[in-house]
Amino acid sequence: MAIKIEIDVDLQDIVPGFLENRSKDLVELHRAVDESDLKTIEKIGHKVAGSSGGYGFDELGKMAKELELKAMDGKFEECVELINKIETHLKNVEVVFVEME
Amino acid sequence: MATSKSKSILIVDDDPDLRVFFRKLLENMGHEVFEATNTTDAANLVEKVVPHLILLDINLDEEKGFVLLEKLKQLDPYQRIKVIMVSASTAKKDIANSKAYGVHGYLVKPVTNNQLVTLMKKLQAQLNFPNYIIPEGQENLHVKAKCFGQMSKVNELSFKFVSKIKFNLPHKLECSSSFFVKHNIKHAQFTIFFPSVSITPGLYETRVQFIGLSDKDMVAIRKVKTKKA
Repeated sequence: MAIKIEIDVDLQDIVPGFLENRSKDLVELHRAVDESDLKTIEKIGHKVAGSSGGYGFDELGKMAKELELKAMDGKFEECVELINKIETHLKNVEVVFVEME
Repeated sequence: MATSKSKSILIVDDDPDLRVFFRKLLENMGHEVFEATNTTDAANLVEKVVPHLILLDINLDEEKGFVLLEKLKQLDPYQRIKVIMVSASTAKKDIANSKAYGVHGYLVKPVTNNQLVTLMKKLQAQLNFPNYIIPEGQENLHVKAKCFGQMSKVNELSFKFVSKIKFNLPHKLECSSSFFVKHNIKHAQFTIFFPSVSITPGLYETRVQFIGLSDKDMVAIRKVKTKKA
């Protein structure tokens, strides 16, 4: 099911690059899961948590923050679940650009 | 292109998505944006462009943003450059450290479009560097300034120099350039005789005359490979 996200039209030309980078993150996250590399998972979670909200992807930002915290706590299985959740979220995202105040 | 109201802003962050985001918003506001991913590159840019404002991430890839604040004590001893810390951290230690360095604000990531616009409006008036009033009787005070620019054309008599500086009066200059190093030109002196010409708003072209070039230097310049018409 599509998840509609309204984003400021001012950001229209930089959002595709942002989403492309998230696809690259997913590849890196799956590699990190295969190698039980919690440090990389934490790092990517931290990075995405810091930038997503600005671009308008609040929900993604929250999940990324949770991922960072779970990785810091060493909760590997919960990280795997969250990564799958993030992947599903990104697959279903439908961006609508709108004029914002 | 920079206008008189625009400011030079340096973004120091290791996350490319954040740099793109800040650049986009700040350029939309009419500012000129520079980027660095670490404090070494940031310090070099501070020396080169002397930004009005630095947006500084605390947790960089291999180091803390505070390293740049330490370097700024040397680079900007009069604390004219404003610094805003930008971090996901809400740790008391980071906030206290930032305050101790005398930064001008602290933004917690994620930073939204509205937060940045509000911050820039609030800071706008404070970003102007103060004027230096030359004391009475010292009108002939010598001021030494360093500026960066680009050589656009060169021949054995002069070269054209594109920069943000508009020269109105004759000046002697000290110039260093990789061009002079490459062609082993060591003995020239440099003088401006004519006022700079405006190319675009905020950018000027200045003809700089060579004085005292040796025959060898002139030959070296004439040998420079030029495009065929």
